[in-house]
Amino acid sequence: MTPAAKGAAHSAAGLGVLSIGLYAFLFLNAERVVALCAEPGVMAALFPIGVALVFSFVHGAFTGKFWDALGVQPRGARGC
Amino acid sequence: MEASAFIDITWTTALALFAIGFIGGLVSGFIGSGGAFVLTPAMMSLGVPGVVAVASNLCHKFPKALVGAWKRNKFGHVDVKLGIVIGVSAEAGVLVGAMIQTWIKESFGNAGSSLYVSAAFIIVLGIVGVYVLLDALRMRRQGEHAAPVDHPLARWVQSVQIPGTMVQFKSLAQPVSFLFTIPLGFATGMLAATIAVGGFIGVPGMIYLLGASPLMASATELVVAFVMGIGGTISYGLGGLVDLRLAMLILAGSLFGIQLGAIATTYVRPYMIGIVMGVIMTLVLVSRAIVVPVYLAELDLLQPLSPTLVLVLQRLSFATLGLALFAGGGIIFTAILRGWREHAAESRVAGTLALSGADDD
Repeated sequence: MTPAAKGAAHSAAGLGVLSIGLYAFLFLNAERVVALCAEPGVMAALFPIGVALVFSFVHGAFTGKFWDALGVQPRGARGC
Repeated sequence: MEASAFIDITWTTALALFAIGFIGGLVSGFIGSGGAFVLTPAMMSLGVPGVVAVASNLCHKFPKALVGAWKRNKFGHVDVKLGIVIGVSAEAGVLVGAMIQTWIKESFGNAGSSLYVSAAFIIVLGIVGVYVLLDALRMRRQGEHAAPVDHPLARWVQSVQIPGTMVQFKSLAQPVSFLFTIPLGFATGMLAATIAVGGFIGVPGMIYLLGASPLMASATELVVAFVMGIGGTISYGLGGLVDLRLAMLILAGSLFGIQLGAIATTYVRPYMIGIVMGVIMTLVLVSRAIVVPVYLAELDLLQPLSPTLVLVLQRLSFATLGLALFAGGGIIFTAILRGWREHAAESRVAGTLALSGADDD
């Protein structure tokens, strides 16, 4: 494994743990989440947007590193 | 909306949403849109009320589009300014499209509404989808010599000079009047409010009307999807209709898919975007055409159909939608593998030449 791939694998592992933690937190508090989203009002609009943005940054970074670690990279990115 | 309208989520449901999200994300990362036409009915088949399915789909769409646009921006495919201009115009289209939908539903009931949606699918996909597919096949036949921005309508639009309205976008060779981009955005939003996939107008519109390349158009559509998705989430969220658990489960799969779809665009020739989009649009068209007799019978415009025939037609239609998504995903996977092999072979040849050059020195 090249140093770059090793770095990507470590980043993927760290971000993966963080991503799983976020999902666990969401579903362990599912009742409160559902109650908040089902009550019409400003909070029911802003809460999903805030959560979705946090998940997109963490899980998005994880999925990017995941494919990097597997060697699935855009054309030219591997310097070949 | 009562919390009881939000379904219980089992492991099977969660895995199904993850898998469909993955394929939907793969297609979105590649062609800029798609997936919603299967995700919404798939959620409804799991017992989610239609309006909650639409709202939750929108809530997963904007963060997915954000990640996809970010990724493809690294490859230089995204025209942020064009995406925002079309996206803001699309918001207006969504509002008008939703008003028309509401009026049709109140006037003609659920069957009238479904017939309207199916008619929109058939007309738009019948014209645009078939044209996109034929044009992509033409480019494939011409191979490297294909002219990607050689469309008469785009040439005309780029030649029209209206003082005070001209805007230069980085994805277009010439400045174009915003009097062309606004109606395109509006139509994209109208279609998104009607059939949930505005990109079926947005992407071909950017290619054939404005003259953008398929790669730029499909990536820029992700910015449009972000703007429309966030607007839709606010709108439905205020009514308490977003099931965040559903949205985040779909997002979990779709972010794996959208990264892969975006990477795939760097391995294929631009016409592949058109081929995937054309194939999906044509299959979706067939899917909607299959159920038209059901709605016509419900509106008493046809002889009543037997319940068995209705069930068969509805299931056949849903299966064809699934086929559209999986066909798109299959073509993308094949394209990635082929592109990867070609790239590896080119790299080996380049490496061998470099080594022999070094020996000569």
